[in-house]
Amino acid sequence: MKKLVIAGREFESRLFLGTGKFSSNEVMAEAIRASGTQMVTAAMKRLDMENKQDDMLRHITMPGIQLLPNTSGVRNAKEAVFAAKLARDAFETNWLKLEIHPDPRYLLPDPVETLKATEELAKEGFIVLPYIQADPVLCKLLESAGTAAVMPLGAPIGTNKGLVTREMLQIIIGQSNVPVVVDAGIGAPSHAAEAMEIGADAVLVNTAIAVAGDPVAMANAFRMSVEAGRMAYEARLASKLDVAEASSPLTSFLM
Amino acid sequence: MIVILNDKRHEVAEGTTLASFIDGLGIKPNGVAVAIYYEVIPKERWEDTVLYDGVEIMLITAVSGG
Repeated sequence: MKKLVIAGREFESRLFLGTGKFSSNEVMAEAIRASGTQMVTAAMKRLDMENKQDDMLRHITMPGIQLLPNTSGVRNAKEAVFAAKLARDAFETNWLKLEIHPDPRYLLPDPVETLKATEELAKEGFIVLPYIQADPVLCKLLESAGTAAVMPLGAPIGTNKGLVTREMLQIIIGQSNVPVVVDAGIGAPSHAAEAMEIGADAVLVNTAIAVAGDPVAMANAFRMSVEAGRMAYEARLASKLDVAEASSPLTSFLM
Repeated sequence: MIVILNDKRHEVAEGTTLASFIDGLGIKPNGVAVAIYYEVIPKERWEDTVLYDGVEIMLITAVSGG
């Protein structure tokens, strides 16, 4: 299968993994290994001196894995740029999942602030992967702003509803000059396979794996579905028809 | 003198550097970042950054997230 390239870096795996909501760092690390992922997200928070420093970073620092710190918790472009600089120092990478979602109910990303922040961060040398609405116009604007990829949502974060935005995703994929990563809403391996079949370059999955009954087995299931979906896309799917077309010979030898 | 870290007051000696303050708290620098008044202080500058009375420091750490 073709390798995914983002900002000059090659990825064999097209499954990106979020690290939130796992029951323990050990389960998370095992799920990362089972998924075969080479891109793993992380977040930041103010250190609370009463609690022990979380050693999650040790669990996600593995050979061949690109860390993708996010800006979750910021409300506008100014805060996002500040968070990006913190992330660069904390994680020692200029890769960034830009997410600006001021609304706590649906966690929907703010397109105006995201575009502003992308422009500024790209100029400062960050490799920006913005979490966005499935908005084809916004995707083209982000491309002009220097984004490394676009990450449109399938459905709101953590809802597991699948590709609710499928029609818009298809338009985005059809006209994008940067990799398209379907982020958020993917709740089952079949959703991930669907995203890959319609030509998404990768998917980012978190909740569906982290809160599964067996997160490690689910990570493995997602690995297979992403591979199957990509393979199907590259093999080119047969087209849909409105009337039947026989797949067996219709000779009338029985009558 | 008093310095403020993530809204909590800490008593430190005059001339304390950012590096020695953080080290004294038992915080491992791996996976953390520091800002003073919204200016990120990269780790290579911690040794040369001398704290002063009343300074407000923000320290963030890596946590899980999607």
